Amino acid sequence: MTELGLAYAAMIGLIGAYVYRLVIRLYDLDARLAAVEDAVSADESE
Amino acid sequence: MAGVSRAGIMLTGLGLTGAALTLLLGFTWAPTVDPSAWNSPEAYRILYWHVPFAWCSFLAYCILFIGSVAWYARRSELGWRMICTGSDLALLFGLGVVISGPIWGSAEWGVPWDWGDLRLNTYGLLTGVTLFLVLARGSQPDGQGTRDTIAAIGLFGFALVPVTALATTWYQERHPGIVVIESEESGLAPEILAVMLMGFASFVLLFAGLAILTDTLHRMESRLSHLQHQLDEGAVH
Repeated sequence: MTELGLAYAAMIGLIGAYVYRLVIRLYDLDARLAAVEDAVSADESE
Repeated sequence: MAGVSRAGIMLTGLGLTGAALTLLLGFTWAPTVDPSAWNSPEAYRILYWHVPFAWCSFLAYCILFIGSVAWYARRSELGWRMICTGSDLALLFGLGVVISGPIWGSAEWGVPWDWGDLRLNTYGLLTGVTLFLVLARGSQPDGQGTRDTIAAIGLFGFALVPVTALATTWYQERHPGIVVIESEESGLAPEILAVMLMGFASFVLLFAGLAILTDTLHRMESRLSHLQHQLDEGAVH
């Protein structure tokens, strides 16, 4: 049972870490894209 | 997040819920296996996630292969994104298999790894190739040369997939054979098969959701890089 618990903990940890990192990076990129798009449109209007 | 696909979020949520239910049913509802046939009968319950993890890794290698072919045939941006998404997900699910398998092996076989088993060794090599692809993508400057090299290694890695998938049929040493196909050796109880099939369905949903979200991430990175380049050009001229 200890081995089973360890194996599932490893798989849950991997999935959890991947989903967490994915969501954080998506939020970060969304904010950066919005800022750069604003800067590009301001640049074009000048 | 305006740019993120709702379908990706929904599929990921559904997949995670299904995977959690599979785990719950696997531990509480599915019966144990014949104690005389296994050294560590309770440890068999690893298959409810370990096997779907392996299947999802093969799906990821298929995406990687299609992307590599598309990149070589047309130098398409979609092909490159498929390489990125396929290698990310192949590493995630491949690591899950490579970490959980030896833990079960320690309980059932008494050793974590068998260097004479074709399935274990080809799968380990496949995961090593995937790790290289992901690290190379992150460490090398993005350009046609890097993409060509990564696509070539992706094609080589995919060649190992049929060998790994059929290794237990061709040359079985220690790793159990294909359990979902009814045979004298497998003889799965209907409850075990039902939970396993639920696990497959859940992980396919999870895989689809993660593939959509990972592709969205790579598309956003590409757009950000394009816009930053445009801003830099504007500042220079």
